Amino acid sequence: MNGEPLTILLVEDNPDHAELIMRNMVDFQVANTINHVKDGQAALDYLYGRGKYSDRQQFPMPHLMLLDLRLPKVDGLDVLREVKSDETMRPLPVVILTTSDAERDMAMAYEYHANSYVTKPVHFVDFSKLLKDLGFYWLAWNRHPW
Amino acid sequence: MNFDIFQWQSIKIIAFDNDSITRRLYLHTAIVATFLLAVISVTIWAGNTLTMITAISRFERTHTVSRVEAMLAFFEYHDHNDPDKLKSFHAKIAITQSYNMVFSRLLDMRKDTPDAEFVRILESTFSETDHKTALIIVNRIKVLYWNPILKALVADAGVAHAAGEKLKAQAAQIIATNNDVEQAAIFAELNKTRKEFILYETSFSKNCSALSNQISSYVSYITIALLFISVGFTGLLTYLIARTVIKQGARYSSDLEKEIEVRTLYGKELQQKNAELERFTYTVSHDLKSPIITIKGFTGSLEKDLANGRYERMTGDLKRVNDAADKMNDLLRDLLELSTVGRVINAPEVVDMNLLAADVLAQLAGPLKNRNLTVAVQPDLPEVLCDKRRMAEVLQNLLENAVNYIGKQAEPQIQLGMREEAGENIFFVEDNGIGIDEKYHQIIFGLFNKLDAESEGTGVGLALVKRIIEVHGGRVWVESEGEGKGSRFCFTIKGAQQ
Repeated sequence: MNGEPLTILLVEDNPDHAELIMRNMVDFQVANTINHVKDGQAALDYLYGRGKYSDRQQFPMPHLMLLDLRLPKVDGLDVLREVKSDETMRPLPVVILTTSDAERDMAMAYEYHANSYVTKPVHFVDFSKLLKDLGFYWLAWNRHPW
Repeated sequence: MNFDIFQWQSIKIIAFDNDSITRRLYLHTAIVATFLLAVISVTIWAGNTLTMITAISRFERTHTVSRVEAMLAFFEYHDHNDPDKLKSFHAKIAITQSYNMVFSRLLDMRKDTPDAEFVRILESTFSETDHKTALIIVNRIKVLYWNPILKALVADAGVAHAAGEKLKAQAAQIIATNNDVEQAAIFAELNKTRKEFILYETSFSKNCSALSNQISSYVSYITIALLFISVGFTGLLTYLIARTVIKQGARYSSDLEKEIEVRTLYGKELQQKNAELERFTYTVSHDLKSPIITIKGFTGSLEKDLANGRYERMTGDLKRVNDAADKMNDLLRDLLELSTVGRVINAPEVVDMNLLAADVLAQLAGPLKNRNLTVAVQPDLPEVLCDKRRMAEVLQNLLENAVNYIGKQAEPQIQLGMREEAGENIFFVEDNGIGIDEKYHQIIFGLFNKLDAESEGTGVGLALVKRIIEVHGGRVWVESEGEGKGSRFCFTIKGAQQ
């Protein structure tokens, strides 16, 4: 809330879910920019500024990554593991936002040092509230690493 | 992996053949026992025979001594006229004659029990110890009836006995006569008889020791031979049993290894199936929940927009809701399809792949026409033994896939064909579409796995193809040099025939 431009990287393969998330985020005006990628490979390319994401002006380092688990090409858990095993990337808050409430997924996510694990609520009101809370907590209250 | 549980169950585990081993061991023991019995019998026989021979030798010595003493006593009586010497002569010659009598009648013992006289002679002649020894001889001599030396010995004893009787008679004549001339004549006769007597007595003695030597050698030879034979047989039998045991052990252990192998395979298969099932439940719950979130999310958004009087995005949101419901419907349909593949197997039939391809292409005529695509089918494809309906699904899914991922090709080409590799018929559906990077060649066959989230289909198609091909004992894989290089989906079928 100090005027610094805040960026969220949304990694979500389902276009409808991505739309819902972005719509809520925009409504609550928690971030200046939401960049959406559709698979794990694109997420990694974005973070490391590879290929078409090499322009840091257009694709700045995010202050929060919302990461789905089941993703095409590179799975969400693999993205998480790669990010958290890289010292320069490790501080990036990664919130797993997924449909899966499987115990194993959650256990794996925490094992790979996810900062938070939330499942997408089915009800729209809960869904909105969750995104609002998430946005405020991680972008307003939380001190970001860069 | 083509794995048939029935195949596993039908593998017969050949148990260790205990019965055969036990039977052999019994036989072994019986044969060894027989040999031991034979050795013991021979030893006992040999012992008895040797005791008897020893007894004969001892008797022979006593007998010779008596004979010599008798003659000496007679000569002394004749020279000195000592009545004691005469008595001594009678006693000694009686002993000698008793021995001769006993030995000369040895062979008759076979026929009947010793007669009263014989027993009387035995009892009166021999002291108690010698009497017993004599009985041993009489009782055991039977085993030697066949022996020629014994026969000669008995004959000698008989002649010696006769000579002894003659000697006794001549001695009596000499004692009874006072006429010196007559006495000298009889004495000369007596000397002749005595020589004859000594001759047979000596022959008897020689035969005694010959018999003793012969029997001793026989006993040694037979005992040694029996020992050798029994040791040899026992060794041979032990070797045979050991060989059988080792062979059976090897067979048993190889069976066991086979079983373990099969079970390990089965266990791995089970593990795979479990993992597959877990993935399946997980993906189903995940992928079915996704459209619900979409539907609920957008209906909520619609309500909010309606309340706020914002109508511009309502049509799009409604479409999303509608599409999500359709997606759910498709998912449920495909899942049902997938779940029946493993269960419902139609009877395999010989299918002409060209005819089947024509059928499938007829069904796909709509989408093909929409995109202005044609499919080239290689003529003279072989016949295949398969579930016709499922094989049609395989072709349909692969062809649909090729259509969906043809991309923006100036000259799109889709081809259905077959090639032969290492004697195996490999069918393929080839396109020059968007291609697939090598690192995704495996995961595209996973359930609900899609490389492009926004492409058509539910992500079940290739999983279904894989399942059907595996049920048919074949393999399925993709060949593609990478993005933009086109793809070739290949599969084999176990029942493929020319």
